[in-house]
Formats: sequence, structure tokens, C-alpha cells
Amino acid sequence: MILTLCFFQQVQGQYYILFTSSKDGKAIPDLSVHMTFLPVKAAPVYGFYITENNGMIQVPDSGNYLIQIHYPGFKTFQDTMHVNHTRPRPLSVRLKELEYDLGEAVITGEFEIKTRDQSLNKVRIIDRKRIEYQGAVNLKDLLSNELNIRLNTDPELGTGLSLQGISGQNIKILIDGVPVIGRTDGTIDLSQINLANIERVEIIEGPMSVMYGSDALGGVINLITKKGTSHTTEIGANSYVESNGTYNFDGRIGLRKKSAHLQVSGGRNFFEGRGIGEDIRSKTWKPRQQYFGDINAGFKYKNSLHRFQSSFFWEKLTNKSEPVFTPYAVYARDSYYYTQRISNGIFSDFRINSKSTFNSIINYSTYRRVKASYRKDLVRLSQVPINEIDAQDTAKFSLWLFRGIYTHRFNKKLSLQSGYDINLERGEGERLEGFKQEIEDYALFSSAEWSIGTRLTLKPGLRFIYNSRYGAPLVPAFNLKYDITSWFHVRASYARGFRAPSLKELSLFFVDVNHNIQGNTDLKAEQSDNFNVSFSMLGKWNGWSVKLEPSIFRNNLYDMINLAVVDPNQQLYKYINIESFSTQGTAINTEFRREGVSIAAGYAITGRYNPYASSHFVYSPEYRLNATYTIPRISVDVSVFYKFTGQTPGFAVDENQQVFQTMVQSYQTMDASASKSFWKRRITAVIGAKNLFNITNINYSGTAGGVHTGGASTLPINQGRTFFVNLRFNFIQMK
Amino acid sequence: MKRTALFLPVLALIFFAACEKEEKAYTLPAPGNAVVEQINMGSDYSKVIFYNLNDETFSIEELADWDLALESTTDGYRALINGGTGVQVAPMGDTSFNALYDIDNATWKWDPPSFLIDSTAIGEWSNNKFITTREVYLLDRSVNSSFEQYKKLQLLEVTDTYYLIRTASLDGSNDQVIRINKDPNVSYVYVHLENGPLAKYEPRKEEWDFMFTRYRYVYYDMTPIIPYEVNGVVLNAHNVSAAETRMAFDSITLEEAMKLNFTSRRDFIGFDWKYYDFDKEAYITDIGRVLLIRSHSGIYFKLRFIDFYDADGVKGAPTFEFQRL
Repeated sequence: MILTLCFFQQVQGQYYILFTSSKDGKAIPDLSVHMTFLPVKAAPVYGFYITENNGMIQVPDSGNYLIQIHYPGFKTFQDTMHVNHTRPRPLSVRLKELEYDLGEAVITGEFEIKTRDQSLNKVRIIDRKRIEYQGAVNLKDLLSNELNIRLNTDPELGTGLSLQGISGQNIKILIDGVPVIGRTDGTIDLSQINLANIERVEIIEGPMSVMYGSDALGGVINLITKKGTSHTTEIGANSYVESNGTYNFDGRIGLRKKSAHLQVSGGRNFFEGRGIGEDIRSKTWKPRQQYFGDINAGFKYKNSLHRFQSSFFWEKLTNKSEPVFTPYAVYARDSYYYTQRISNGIFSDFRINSKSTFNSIINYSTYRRVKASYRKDLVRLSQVPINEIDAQDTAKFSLWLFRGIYTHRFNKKLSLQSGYDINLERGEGERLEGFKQEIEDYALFSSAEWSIGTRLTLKPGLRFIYNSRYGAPLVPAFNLKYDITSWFHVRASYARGFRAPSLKELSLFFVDVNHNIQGNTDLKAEQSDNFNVSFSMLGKWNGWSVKLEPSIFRNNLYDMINLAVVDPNQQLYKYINIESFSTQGTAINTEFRREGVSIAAGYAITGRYNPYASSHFVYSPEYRLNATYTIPRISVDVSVFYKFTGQTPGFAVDENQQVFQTMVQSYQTMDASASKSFWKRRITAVIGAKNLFNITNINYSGTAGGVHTGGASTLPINQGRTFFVNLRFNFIQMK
Repeated sequence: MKRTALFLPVLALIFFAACEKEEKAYTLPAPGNAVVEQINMGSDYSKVIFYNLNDETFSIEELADWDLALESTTDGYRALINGGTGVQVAPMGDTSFNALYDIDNATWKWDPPSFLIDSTAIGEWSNNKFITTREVYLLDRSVNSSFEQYKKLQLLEVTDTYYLIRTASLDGSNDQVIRINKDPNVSYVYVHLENGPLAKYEPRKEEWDFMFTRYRYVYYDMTPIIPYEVNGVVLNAHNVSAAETRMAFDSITLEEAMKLNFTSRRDFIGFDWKYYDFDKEAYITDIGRVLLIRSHSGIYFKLRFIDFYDADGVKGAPTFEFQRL
């Protein structure tokens, strides 16, 4: 710790203290500082402060202060210092930055901001730099490189994912802790989660159901947005062009005055579509147009922070068919999918005292998806809406979220967190019984973090739920972290997860000439047990900081909901709790860092339960290698992102009750980029290439016969090799 | 900063201008001499359309108006069930109409898709001497029926001029005897178990060549066997036959047609003149398949299907062109 005493700035009884980073001397804004005034003949007086954008706090009295700071990325600071009002310059305190955890703060699932190493959960963090170096526009681009995450793309429904072998309907996607609503067939289309306003992404594997309730059975992906500038004025713009016909632009303006800030951002993404093979009019990768905007306004008031956030997203996905030629007409059947998401929320953080905080979220989100289909006359170039049941459809969902978390730190060893979580969901759609349905979910949850000795930390948790439509389970969780040494940690966890039946599964009513599919109001929630053990070893070797993290996991899912024939005479299909499923696997991640170089390599193998396999599990491996190197003389950051996805075997049963084997071929992808900043970092240019191995389709073998044949023997995975250029402009004016 | 920030809106304009490419228009060839006809079965295929090639007329009936079709010839006694609405029957091996029968013990049967009258689901419930077996049948009209799903059925009597059938609910209620008069001008007379006999359904034998209808096709080569409701074309049983070729439609002459093998199999045209294309997400008609039809009047026609959608893009509206040879 480097402590420099400077001059006081004496302004009528007010004294200033400046906090800076030891690495670059820059001021640290929004730093939480606990100051206990120690008068000579009186009781200590506690005060809590948050530094301004210039890194300063002001205190009313001169004298001795106990200063305590606990902030991610910095070594914990505690010292007693004398603040003397006769000095002209502010007292300067420098905080030492931690090498291993630079910028790797974790919010998701924590009582307060922590570093990744401090967290009891197994957390993966993807920061802004990685997002930019990878040229990732949306969450689909970003997660394509992650281990234990598989993406499955439907050119019309979009891209879903699986994590630890568990499908996307069991993965909760949050933005600043608020769930993203609007699942199509149970999954969120990752191409609709735009990263323009995202600061970092936190991924937690394994159930987070105590904290986040339903749909978090497999894990949670939390996107943390940019919260506003620390400068007086900031104007930024970002343009992105990719050779597959992508043209993106977004801009933002940020203003700050004292403790208040305002940020307005917005943009447009345009993808003209790409066809693989002979299709021309109909593209394998459908054209998309997206418009999005955010308003973020916040202020500090005494010991509280308040923020209003409003987000808007709109997308048009175009699905054109190939022309149908007849002797007297040429026409096509085109469908357009319009998606709109709006979210408005108020986020408040209250520091009640030095030991207690209260965080609350009030948020209202809406989702709307419209399908509009037309018969287009390709001779006259006119179109008419198709008047069929499936041709036009509108689905609407809305969610009121009320969430509050009270955290109390009894002492350094024991903290307690309790909260409430109220979700009021409403859905409308022609496929829902009565066309409208509602679900109300009320939950109380609590967890404690208890340090025993200097090495062991335990974190039990429990969630109680009342749900208006189904029987909700009691949800326990237990996390353990043991520090074998200061550089060798082990984590173990057990958690119960659950996924609530969706409105569709409860209330679907799809009965016509060809279909008799009905929901089931007696459904139970899907449940799972997750076991996770991981090790974390940090070290230094030859100037490198090295991290090694092996881990194993097992998920048991039961009461899984699926469609089944309940009455063959009536051909009646209903959703019932029918299946069980398991996944297990192991992974090892390594990181190597030194000045100007970082390398991350990993291997994972995941087994998925299959009753027809000899060992009841079918396994599929993955490898990953990411590397970034800064060429010193020209200050160019060169990055490579490589992932190998092993072949995925499987077994299925055809209509003749015969077991047959399926196999999805292995494939590899590699992206590369070079980044350089100009003009005092006002302009940053990134040029790169994606999918250097030019993978488009992969082979899928093993399809069943039936009345409707037509199973694909290839799966579209990627659009082929593309090149991109990204220009970022950042103008800052700071008074 | 002001000057340098000015170019940002210009850059934004460039990117916001990116848009979808304009569509190109196609040009059609000049029309030929064939008659182009479009009929509409409804997007739910609820209509049956009887077509007459000779005078280009057609009549429309409701598919769900009947449960049984009975041979209308003086010596006829066999019955067809309405497979298009999902009707199936199960013989009970018993003649006691008042007994209670359990549908769980029923072995359901279907008519052949070819409409072969000697292989029906009901089978030989009588013979050419009009001696009836009096066997009781259970009849299932499927869950989609707006009437009672399960009924009991028994042929009491058949003569050269009428049928007497008895029907009731499974619990014995709604017991009634229905008389259906034969009509020598048509091939079949039709009856609905609640609404009684239909005064008219199919046109006179000499006034139609084929019908568009929903009917049952059975995939006997699958395990288990799959009955499937299809929408297709069924020939008139009276004097109509057909053949097919893949020669160019415009080049087919009467001489070429006479060389082909004609069949009176009723489902020869069938339903596979169209197929569902998953890439185009639409039913595509096989315009290369040309049918030759010897109509009820003895005149030959060539015909092909060219579309399955109406001008509003709604399915169930077959378009076909035909020409007298």
C-alpha cells in the first residue's frame, strides 16, 4: 500500500480525501468508503461515503479517521489516518490493484460486489474487451466460443443454447438481474440479446433457483449494462460492418453532473440475410433488422443510489420462400416476424448503515411477437395477407417484477441475506385457453454466508414459493468454499433447481381438424439436483500469473414436462410430467497472463443421459483456446478465439420402435482480430475474421422414417468465413 | 470536439440507409388453350366437390353430412364409412343390439383407400340374397365430431329398394330405425345417424367424373399401421377411368392417350399430385404429372394440377387445367 499525504484543500471546515489507483494514478469514482471519526474525548462517529467522479470525498471535521475500503479489483484497505485541516491539498490514498482479478467483479448471486475468486459460485466473466475483440454483436456471437455451452440454431426461431447439457428453457437470461421474457418454444433467441450497451456478461453454471426462482435450473446468464459515464459529457458511437451483409450502428450520449447521470443510447442492426447453396430468395440465415434504445438515469441521495432504466428492442425477421412456379402464376409465401420488447425499471440501493444494505428492483417488461404471412405475386409484385390460422399470430407477454434484498453483515464472519421476489406474468395468444392466462409467483428467499476459521466459508440458502397455478417446490442450496492455501481453493455446491410450467404448458388449447393438443393445469414444476465440485489454483511462474481450474458436475432432472399421447382414441396430446434426464461432466480451464499477453485454454466433456446407450450416457468433448497479445511498438492487440466441438452421438427410437444411432459431426471454429486505438483512444478500430475454417453445415446422420419424411442430413451451423470492421468513437469532455 | 463529432451523424445516416434489396418481377409465358378451373374445398377441407369435365360444372356438399354411404344399385348391399371425417367401425361378433358393448374391446377397421367395395370395413353384413348377418357394429366418429362420438349400428333389412338400419347410443338411448331408399340414378345413397338419409348428395351417375374429397389412406407398410386423412381426387365408380403420363402437357394427343393403360381404380389420381415442400413451406403440385381421363360420356380429356392455393394464399383450393382430346 502506498500512502501519500498531500495538502489539504481547506474550504470552510470541509476536508477532502482523494482515492486513486496505484497502477495508473487515476481517480476511482463510485468507491464505497467506510469512515469512522475517532474524536479524542467522545464516542466514534461512523460515516459512509461514495466517491464523486473526481475520486474525492469530503469530511466535515479534522482529526483521526479509521478508513476501510473493500472494492473489487483492489486489495482491501484499512488504516487509521490523521486528517489535518491546515493542509492545502486533499489527502491522497492509493489503492493497490489486484493482478489476478483485474476488472473481474461479480454481481450475480452475491450479497455484494465481489471478485470472482471471492465468490462461492462457479462464475465465468466475459468483459467488454473480449466482446469487442471477438466482434460479438449479440449473445449468440459471444457464447459460441464458450465451453460447456452449445448453441442450436433454427433459422426461423433463432438461436437457443444448452449449458452443462441442459436445454435453454432451463437457463435464465437476465439483464441487470431482470429476467428477459418472451420465450419461443421455451427458449430465448440469443440473436435478439444485443451487446451494444453491455459492460460484461456473468455466467453461473448450476442452479441459481434460490436467488432467481424458476427457469434457472441449469444456470444463469446475467448481462450487466453500462451504467453511465463518470465524465461530464461523453459521446460515443460504434459502427460495425461484416462481409455477410451486416451493417450495425449505435451511439450514446452520457451526461453527469455531480452525483446525477443520464445516458441515452440507441442503434440499428441490419443483416441482409445469407443463403447457403442454391437458395436465392429464401435465405438459410434470415434477414433481420433491429432497432434498440436505452435510457439510463441515476442519482445519489445521501446513502442511496437510484437508477431508472428504460429499454426498447424491435426486430423484423424476414422469412421469404422460394418462388412457386405454375403455368399461370409465380408466387411465394413470405412470413415476417416482428418482435418487440420493452422494459422499464427502477433500481435502488440503500446503505442503511455500515452493516446493512437494501436493494430493490421494480420492473415492468412486455414482449410481443407478431407473425404476418403473405402470398406475394412475383409477377405483379403485390402481396395479400394469407387468411389461414397459422399464417397470422400474435403472442403477448408481460411481467411485473418486484424484488427486494436485505443484506446484513453481522461481522466479518457472518452475513445474512433475505429477500422477496414477486413475479406477475400475463400471456395472451390464440393458442392459450381463453386467449389470456396469468401466473402469480410470490417467493421469499434467504441465504447466509458464514466463515468458519480463516479458510472455510459456507453458504446455505432456501426459497419458499407460492404460485397461483402450480405446486411450487421448496428450493434449498448449499455452497462451500475452502481455502486450502491462499492460492488453492476448493468449491463444492448442491442446489435444487426448478422450472415452472410455462403458460403454454398449463393452458395451451390447440384443437382443430389435425391437432388435439391441450395444456395441463395439474402440472408440477420440473426439478433438478445439481452437484458441483471445482478447484482453483493461482500461481506465478516465470513472470506469468497462472490459474488452473478443474471441475466436475452432475445434474439430475426429474418430472420433466413433455407432450405425450394420453388418449390414443382421441389422439389427445397433453403436457405431462413424464421424463427424467441427467447430465454429468468435467472441465478444466487454465489462464496465463503477463503484461501484454493473456491465454485461456480449456477442455470439457459433457455426458447426456440416454437410456439406449450402453453406459446410459453419451459423451461429447470440447476444446477452447483464446489468446490476446499486445504488439508493443505499434500498440496493436491481436486476438484469436478457437473452439473445437466434438462429435455428439445419440440414440433414438423410430416409429417402428427400433433404436437407431444418431451422430452430429464434430467441427471447429476460429475467429481472429486486431485492435488499435488512435488519437488518445478517441477512436478504436478492430478488424477481424470470423469462422476462418469456413464451416457452414455439419453432417447429421441417423433419421427415422415416417409418414412425413424429410429429416435433414445436414445442420446449418454458421454462415461461412466472414470479415468485419468495427470502428468505435469515444469523445469525452471532463470539466 | 464539435467539429469531429459532426461526422458521426453522417456516419449514422450511411448505416441507417442499409436496407433490403428490391424484388425482381417474373414474366409469364402466353396462356394456352386449356380450361383453367379452381375449386375450393375450404382450408379445413370440409367440402366435397363433384366435377363434370364435359360441361365444366360442379356441385358442392359438406363432408360431415354423412356417416355411411350405401350401394344404391338394386342388388347392392355394401356400405362405406366416412373415412374423411375419421369414422371407423368395429364388428362386435354379436347380434344382441341391446347388450352393453365396451369400446376398449373394439378392434377398429377402415375402408381401403381405393374404395374397393368388396373390402370394406363393415364387410359382408348381408349377401346378394339380402340375408343380413344382423351383426352389431360400434361406430366411432372421432373426437372432432360435433355429434355423439360412439354409436351402435345394425343392418336390419336390405332389399332392392331400401335399407333399414338400427342405431343407438352405447347406453341404449336414442334407439331408432332409419329407412334409406335406394336411388338408381346414383351410385350411393348417404345417411347421417342423427339427421337421417340425405335426399341428395352425389350427382347422378352420368353427371360427374371425379370428386375432390378428404378420405382415409392407410399406410399398411408401417409398423404400427398408420391411418391418415388425405385430401385428394376420387373417380366416379360409374364408367370413368384414368391413366397418367409425364409427357409434356401441350404435346399429348388423343392418339398418344389411347396407347396408355387406363384403370377404373377410384383413388388412381389420389392425393400425391401435391406434396409439402419444407423449404418453400407450401404444398407444391406436380405439374409434370398429366392425367388422362376417360369421362363418364366416353370423351377423353387431359388434365394436370397446377396449384393448391387460392389468390389469398389459402390452401385447399386446387387449380387444374384440362383440355378435351
